[in-house]
Amino acid sequence: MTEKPPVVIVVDDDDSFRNFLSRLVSTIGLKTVPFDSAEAFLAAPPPDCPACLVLDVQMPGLSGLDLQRVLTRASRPLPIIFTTGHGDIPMTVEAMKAGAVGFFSKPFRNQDMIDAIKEGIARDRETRKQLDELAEIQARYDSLTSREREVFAHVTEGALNKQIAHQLGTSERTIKAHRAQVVQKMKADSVADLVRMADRLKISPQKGAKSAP
Amino acid sequence: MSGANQQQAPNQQKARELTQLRERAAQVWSEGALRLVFERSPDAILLLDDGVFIDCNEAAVEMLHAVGKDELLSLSPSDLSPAIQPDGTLSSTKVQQMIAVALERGSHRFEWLAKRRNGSEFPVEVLLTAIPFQERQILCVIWRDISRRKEAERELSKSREAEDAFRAGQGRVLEMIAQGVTLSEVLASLVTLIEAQSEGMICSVLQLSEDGKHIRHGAAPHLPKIYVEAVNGAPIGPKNGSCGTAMYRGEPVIVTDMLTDPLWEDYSELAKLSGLRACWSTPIFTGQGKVLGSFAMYYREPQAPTGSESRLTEVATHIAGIAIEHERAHNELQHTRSELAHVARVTTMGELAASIAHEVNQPLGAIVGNADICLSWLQEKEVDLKQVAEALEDIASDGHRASQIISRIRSLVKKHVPEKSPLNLSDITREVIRLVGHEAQRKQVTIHSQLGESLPAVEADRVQLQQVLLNLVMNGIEAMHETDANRRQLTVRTMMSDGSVLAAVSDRGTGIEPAKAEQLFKPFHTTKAGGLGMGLAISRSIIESFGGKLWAESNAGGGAIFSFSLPARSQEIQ
Repeated sequence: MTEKPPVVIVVDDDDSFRNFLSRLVSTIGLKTVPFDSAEAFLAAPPPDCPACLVLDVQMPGLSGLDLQRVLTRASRPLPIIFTTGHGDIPMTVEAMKAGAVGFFSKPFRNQDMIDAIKEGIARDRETRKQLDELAEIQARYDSLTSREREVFAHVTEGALNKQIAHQLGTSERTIKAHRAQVVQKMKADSVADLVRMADRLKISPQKGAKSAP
Repeated sequence: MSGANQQQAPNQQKARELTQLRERAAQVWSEGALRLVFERSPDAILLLDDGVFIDCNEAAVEMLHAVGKDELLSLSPSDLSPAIQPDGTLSSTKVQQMIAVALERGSHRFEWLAKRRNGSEFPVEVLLTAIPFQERQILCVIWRDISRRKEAERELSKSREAEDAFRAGQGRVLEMIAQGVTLSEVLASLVTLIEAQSEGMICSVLQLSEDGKHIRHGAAPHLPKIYVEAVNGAPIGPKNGSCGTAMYRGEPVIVTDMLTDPLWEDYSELAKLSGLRACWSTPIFTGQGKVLGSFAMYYREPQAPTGSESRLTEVATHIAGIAIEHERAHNELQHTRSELAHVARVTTMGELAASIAHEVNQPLGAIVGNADICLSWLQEKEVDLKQVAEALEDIASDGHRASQIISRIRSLVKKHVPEKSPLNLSDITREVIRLVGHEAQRKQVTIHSQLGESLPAVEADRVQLQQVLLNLVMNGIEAMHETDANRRQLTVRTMMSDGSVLAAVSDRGTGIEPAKAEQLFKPFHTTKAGGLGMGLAISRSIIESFGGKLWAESNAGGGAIFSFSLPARSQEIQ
């Protein structure tokens, strides 16, 4: 299945500036999705394709920096490129610290904006890949029984079968069978692979135990 | 006793002398000599017996312009007076009253209006004396002509009235100065007042230009227009007519004939054309002795001063000096005030610099970007001209937008002379809110406006009124610096109130203590680190210069309200 074409989301209260960005983005063969306020953008469904956000810092209502704060808490933080009529240093620092791809004072060089957009989309593509992988691992994890999840948690902690058996009050053989089941269901090549997956899923023995039904 | 004898002797002597005198008098009387007193008296004497004249003297005949004694005696007393006396009573009634008084007291003196035979009237002083004769009372009527005395009294009171009127006129002109009436109106009134004091005299006041080299028109309501226009702007100098020379020399210049005087050589044609012959000019000085202008008296005939004009000249130059100095001080003050207002405006705009940069860069960003796109399109093999045209149209419209923003800001920053015009306060408020929109956003302040529709116009200077509103709005935004971000709301209202148009800016800041509200308006009072502390003082002086008021009060919901009101013009502007 081929990837959906990426889009550039433009949030700016200035009509003519939005028009210009659409024109600029179209020169690299991409589409824009324009919004005239942060609120309008938040009300719309999130894009299901690689995307990046070109965001005006100063807008009536929620400002660009406010929107950035909201988005960093989301599961898929969109890469943000800020534009501003007049930026000051603290503003730039805040935006960049929070992970902005770029911060442009108007007027800027088109090539710089295009480079930033390309980088933003690349970042989002990477994020989406990571998220897809995570979703896949999560799906595999979801197929484990609660006992297998417990065993999974202990194994990734580095515990030996004997220790796990003692912990769970069962035989070492039973644990060995669960463990084989976990490796197979999670499509893991090695214990190290399992550990990486647990890390991605943010699984620990306690969490595993807790999430047991 | 020798002492008593000595005393008695002179008394006896006196008594003897008196007796001798009486004998001599009786002799004179008996010989009819005293009748000549009656006959030759310069006062008119008539004898009235029971309402009929029985005798009169020559003076009476003469005074009443009668043909002779017989004619006079044939007349009735009522023929010798007009029907009504000056006090409004009927002569016949008053005569009866006067006679009654004379009979009761023996004599009576009063003033009367008499009538000659030719009908002319004249004032007399009457002395009525009752003379007992054969058990009847004969009345002796003595008339003294007091026309001259009356005339003199009238002259005196007329000149007193004229003097009073002249003084009152001076008072009125001084009052005009105090009330701030324009200089040309004040000087025209002064000139007209002086002219009224002397017949045939035309006056003018001229000013000396600030550079001290040229004549400037002051007031000359009754000089020919052509003359006034020719003189305006002419240089002063040692041979420049009466006024130009008087200002140059700093002393009075009397020209009795403008057609022959060498000082008028260059201007004699003008004088001839204007029908003027004599011109006496006196410089007007400041209190410090600097020449401000000149006051001149003109005549249509050659004429030399008689000396009676010197007082008029003194009054005219004195008052004109006050008026011109007052005007110059006033202008100076206005100038300083508008300079100060300009400094304050520029300072405020400095505070707004970040927002202004943002607003200008917004269209510039789009212009530069679109131009860049066009350039790269034009380098391609196949150019889509429709696309290029669209981009260029956007560039043009953004260019206009940027220029409008700049001219809006420029109008606030450039120096200008304040000018009154009818303005809509709601429109001005909208412009100011647009100007500070970005600044409010930056400071996370929401601006609510409740602007009255179809308000009457106010008379003010657009830029200065914008400045006042800008100042109040910026102060309101600043005041909420420490207010919770979600409570930072500024409300701007315009409305009618008691025949005035009112604007009010309410914030939700720290508020003001009522006791300190007035201190806010003192110059150099500031609560801001970078502030001049002039904003409110200047704003108040601007509003007061347009006849309005500006004040501060506490906002019931916390914060402060700054309001001003301006008198409403009668008709509204569309």
